[in-house]
Amino acid sequence: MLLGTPAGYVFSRFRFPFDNAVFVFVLFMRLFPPIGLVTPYYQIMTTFGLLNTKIGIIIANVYLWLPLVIYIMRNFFITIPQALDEAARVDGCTKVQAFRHVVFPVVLPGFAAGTILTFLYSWREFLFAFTVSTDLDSMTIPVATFLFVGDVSIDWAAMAAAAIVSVIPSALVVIFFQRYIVVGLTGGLKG
Amino acid sequence: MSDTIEDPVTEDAQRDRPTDDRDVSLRLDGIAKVFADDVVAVDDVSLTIHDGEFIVLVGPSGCGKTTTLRTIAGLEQPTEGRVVIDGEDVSGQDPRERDVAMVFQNYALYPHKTVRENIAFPLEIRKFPDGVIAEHMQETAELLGISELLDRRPADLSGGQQQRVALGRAIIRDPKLFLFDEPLSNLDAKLRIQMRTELNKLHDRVGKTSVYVTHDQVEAMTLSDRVVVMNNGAVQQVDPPEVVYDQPANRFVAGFIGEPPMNFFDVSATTADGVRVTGGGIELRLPAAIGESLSEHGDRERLELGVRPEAFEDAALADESVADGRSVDAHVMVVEPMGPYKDLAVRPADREDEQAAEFTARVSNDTGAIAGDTIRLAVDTDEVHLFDPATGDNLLA
Repeated sequence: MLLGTPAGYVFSRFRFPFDNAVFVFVLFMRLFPPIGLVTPYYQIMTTFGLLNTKIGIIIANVYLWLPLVIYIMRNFFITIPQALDEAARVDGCTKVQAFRHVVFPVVLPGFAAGTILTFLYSWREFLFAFTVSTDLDSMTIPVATFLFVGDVSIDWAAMAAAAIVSVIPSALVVIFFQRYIVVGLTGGLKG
Repeated sequence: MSDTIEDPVTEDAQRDRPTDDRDVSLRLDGIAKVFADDVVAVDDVSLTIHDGEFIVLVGPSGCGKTTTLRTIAGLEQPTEGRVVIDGEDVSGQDPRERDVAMVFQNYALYPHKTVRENIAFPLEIRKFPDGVIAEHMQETAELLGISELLDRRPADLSGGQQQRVALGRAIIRDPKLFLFDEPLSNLDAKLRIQMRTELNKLHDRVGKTSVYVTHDQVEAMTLSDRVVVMNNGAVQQVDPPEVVYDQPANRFVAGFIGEPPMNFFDVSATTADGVRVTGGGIELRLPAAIGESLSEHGDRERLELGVRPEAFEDAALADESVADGRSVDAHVMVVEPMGPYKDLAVRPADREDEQAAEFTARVSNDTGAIAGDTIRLAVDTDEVHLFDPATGDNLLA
């Protein structure tokens, strides 16, 4: 969210050479099948010594969801009239202040929606987390659940229990922030 | 119009005459703005605006008036030229450094802030102490009559109230310059007239230099000390409203200012026996004074004659009979009663079948003319205008 929000703002407001091309490129990166990236990603993480670390998993999730966040946030910013930033700048703001005091507070519901979606997606992300982490310290819950698949037998009961427990945080988030999720997925502020 | 468009003043010359400059609140020197796709929005606009003046930029959509305003605010950087506010060249500065306040077409109120926070924002961002803000807030709210609304949010306000809040946000700062970008165009007709009057009163009280952009000529005429008529990115005329109406600089201004618009006729002129113009189904003999000013421009055969609808009258209502050279026989197509007068859509009697020959005459309400009649219209030949058909210049101004 920290990277995606400013990026979305930039894509919605400022014109720079090849801006649309860059935006499409950002989205294209996400279209690449993640499975094809797992092996190179593993090698990169080995090189940087980030295997079995939370950082390694975080970087993977940033790669996976940043384009989505940029896309969602850009759409939110587009719904805000540009006159608002301009009024703020005439009123005495720098461009950064105009963003902080005026544009960002207005887009807060969108920001919340983006945050929640990213959380939900990251929470249940399996492939990259499974590749990068093998010890219990860095493991994410979906990966840990997979531990119940043993060499000779599968402990279905324990696995089901773990899965249910792992769903609880997501379920709570969905229940409490339903409105924002809908807003985030439909890409506009309504009501 | 000559005293308002000045030659570009060099910086040296400016330093030599500080007393002249003190009175000047805003000066634009040859502003040009070309957008990325080679669209010329503003082309060499120069203007000098004096302290306390209310200037209205008016013109059709896309004439560059809004771009000019945004350039003054610093929201656009001019491709060429300089913006000078209170003697200081602010061309490269950020909007916040220019000490101007702007009211936007859609008000641009901050939806997440209350009215109070909206109005206080320009002072808060400049780190004024709370006590000073509260004091200014009260003054501003009283001035605009919005004291009861201070704790509401913009979404809960009517259009007129939002408009007032936007004004409040501009006034509270006591800026060097007020900029208005079509502030009334989102209001309904009745409220627009009311706010127009209020803006007028407000300017009388606050007395700040204001630049106001509109496409509505009524706003331009009623609010301004001087009107700047723009077309295709260029200034056409800068003059007080009466002058713009009575002595339009060219055919564009003549056709743009005035409602219903001026009628134009392609005519040929003969000067053998006074100035006589013929064409478009009408024939007029013009006063001697017109002939004199016409000959200053060199005699020419083809002219464009401009007659305002108001210069016509139903000849049947005139006290004395109307001479041949000062009237038009016309066939009435449509009568539009407007209350105090009637607008007639007419065609010259001998051009009844030509739609292109149609023109508008505004006659007294007492006229008995109905659609289908042929009537005689008297023409006030002192009030006609002659334009150069090639350049559009007014040959009599």
